[in-house]
Amino acid sequence: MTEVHQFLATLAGRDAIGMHTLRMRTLLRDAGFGSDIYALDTHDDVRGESKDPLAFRDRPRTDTDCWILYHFSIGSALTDIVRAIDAPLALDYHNITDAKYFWRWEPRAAARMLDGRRQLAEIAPEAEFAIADSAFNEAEVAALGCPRTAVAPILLDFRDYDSPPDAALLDRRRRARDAGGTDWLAVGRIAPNKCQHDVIAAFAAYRRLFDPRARLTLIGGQSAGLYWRELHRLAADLGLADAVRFTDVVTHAELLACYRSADVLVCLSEHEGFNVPVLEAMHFGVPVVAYAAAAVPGTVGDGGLLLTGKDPVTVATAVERVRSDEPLRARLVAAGRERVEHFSIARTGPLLIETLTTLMKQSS
Amino acid sequence: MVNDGPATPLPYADVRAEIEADATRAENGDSNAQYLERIRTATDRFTLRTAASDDIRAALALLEEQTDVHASAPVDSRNRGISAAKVVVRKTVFFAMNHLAEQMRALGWAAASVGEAAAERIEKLEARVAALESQLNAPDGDAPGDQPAS
Repeated sequence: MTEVHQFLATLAGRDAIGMHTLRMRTLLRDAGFGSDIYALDTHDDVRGESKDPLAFRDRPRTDTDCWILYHFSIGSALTDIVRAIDAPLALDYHNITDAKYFWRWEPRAAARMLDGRRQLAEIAPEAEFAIADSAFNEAEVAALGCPRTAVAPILLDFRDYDSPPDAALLDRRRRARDAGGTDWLAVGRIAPNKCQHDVIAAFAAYRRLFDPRARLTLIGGQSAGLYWRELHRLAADLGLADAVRFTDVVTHAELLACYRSADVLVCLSEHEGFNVPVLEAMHFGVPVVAYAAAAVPGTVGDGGLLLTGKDPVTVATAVERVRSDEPLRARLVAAGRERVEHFSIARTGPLLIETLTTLMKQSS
Repeated sequence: MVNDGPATPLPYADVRAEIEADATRAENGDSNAQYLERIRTATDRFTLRTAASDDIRAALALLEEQTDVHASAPVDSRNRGISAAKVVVRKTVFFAMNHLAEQMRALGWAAASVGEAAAERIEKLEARVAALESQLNAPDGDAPGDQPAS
C-alpha cells in the first residue's frame, strides 16, 4: 500500500486549508492510500485529527512507498522538519500573500511572509512535484523551479452550507432588508491585501449615488490591528459609522444567515491564491462583483462580474447594475451555480486523486 | 487535471463597457462631485506605497507615514465582554501608552528630519556630480576653466 501523509503548519477546522486537508485524507484513504495528518499546531475543534510531525521519524517502518505532501502557505519551522524526512516530497501550494501589503500595518506578519517565500524558493526545486489551488499559484511554484506542477482546486463540500443558519440573525437582517436598503457583503479576513478600504469607498459612493439606506457587512477576523482601526476611521470619516458593520469572526450559522440575506458580494482583493467566499456567495445565489486580480478571475470565471479597475464610482455603478438589471442578475446567478458545480468535491475530489496518482507515477 | 485558468478575455465585456459609461455620467453630476472627491481623499491614505531601492524620497515618505503613532489600541471584539474589558485596560494604561507614543512620534519625526537632510545633501551631490560629468565629457574647448570670460 502506498502512503501519502499530509504535513501542515496549523490544522484548524474553520480554515479552508484545514478543511481541505481533512477532506483530502478521507479521499486518500477511500482510494486505498495510507494517510495521516501531521501538524505543528492543531486547534481545539480538530484536536485528535493530527499527529506530531517530530514523531513521524519514530513511527514503525513499513515496506510501503511513502510520500510527504506538504501544504505550504506560510513560513514555518515545519519546512526544516519536512526537508529532513527521508521520503519523496510533494507540495500543495496555497499561496503566500505578498509581504508588501503588510509592512505598513503588521511588520511581523510581513517578515513571516518573506520567510515563507524564502523557504518556498528553497523547497520548490527539491519537491518531486507540486499541486496548486489555482493557475495563479501554479505559475508561482513553477517559476521557482518545481519540476512538475498541476492545478487541483481546494476541496469544498457545499453540503456544509445546507445546515441551518442562525435564525435570530437571519430574522434581524431580513427585517432590516424589508425596511429598505441594499445589503452589501464582503467576506474574508480583514487584511490590507484584501482591500476592504476599497469596499468601504465604493459603498460610500453607492450610498451617495444610488441608495442612501444601503448597508455593508464586513465579515472576517482581524489580522492587522492598525489596518482594522484605520478602516473604522475611514467609515467614520465618510459618515458611514452606522451603515458599516464589522462582525469580526462569525460562527458558521451566522455566516450562512449573512449569505442568505445579502444582495451582493463585493470582493476587491488584490492578492488571493484562490478565494472561497466568491464561491460561497454563488452557492447562495448571491451575485458577485469582484476585482480581476491574482487568482480571483480563475475562481470567479463567468460566475460573477469581474472589474478591471476599482474606482469607487465604477464599483458602485456595477453593484447597482447587478441589483437593478434582473436579466443580468439571473444570468450571473445561473452561471454562479454552474461555477459551484465546477468546484464541487464530487468533481474536484476524483480529479485531485487522479492528479496525485499521475504525478507520483511520473516522479517514481 | 482541473482547468480553472482565468477566462481570457474576461466575460461580460459589454456589461463592463456600459458600467464604465454609466460611472462616467454619475461622476460628472455636480451635486456629488464634492463627496466623491472626499471619498478619494479619505482612501488615499491606504494607497500601497513602496520605495524602489534607490528612491530615497519615496523611502522618506514611507518613514514620515509611520511617524503617525497612536496610543489607543483597537478594542473591537465580537464578544461584548472582551471589548468592554479592552476598553477598561486601554483607559487604565492610557497615561503610560500616551507618554510612550509621544516619544515615539518625536523619535519618528527626528528620524524623518535626518532623512530629509540626507536626501537634500544627496540630491545636491548628485546634481554636482552630474554637472561635473557633463563638463568632463564635453569637447576640450568647453572644459572647466576654458570658458572665455564674458
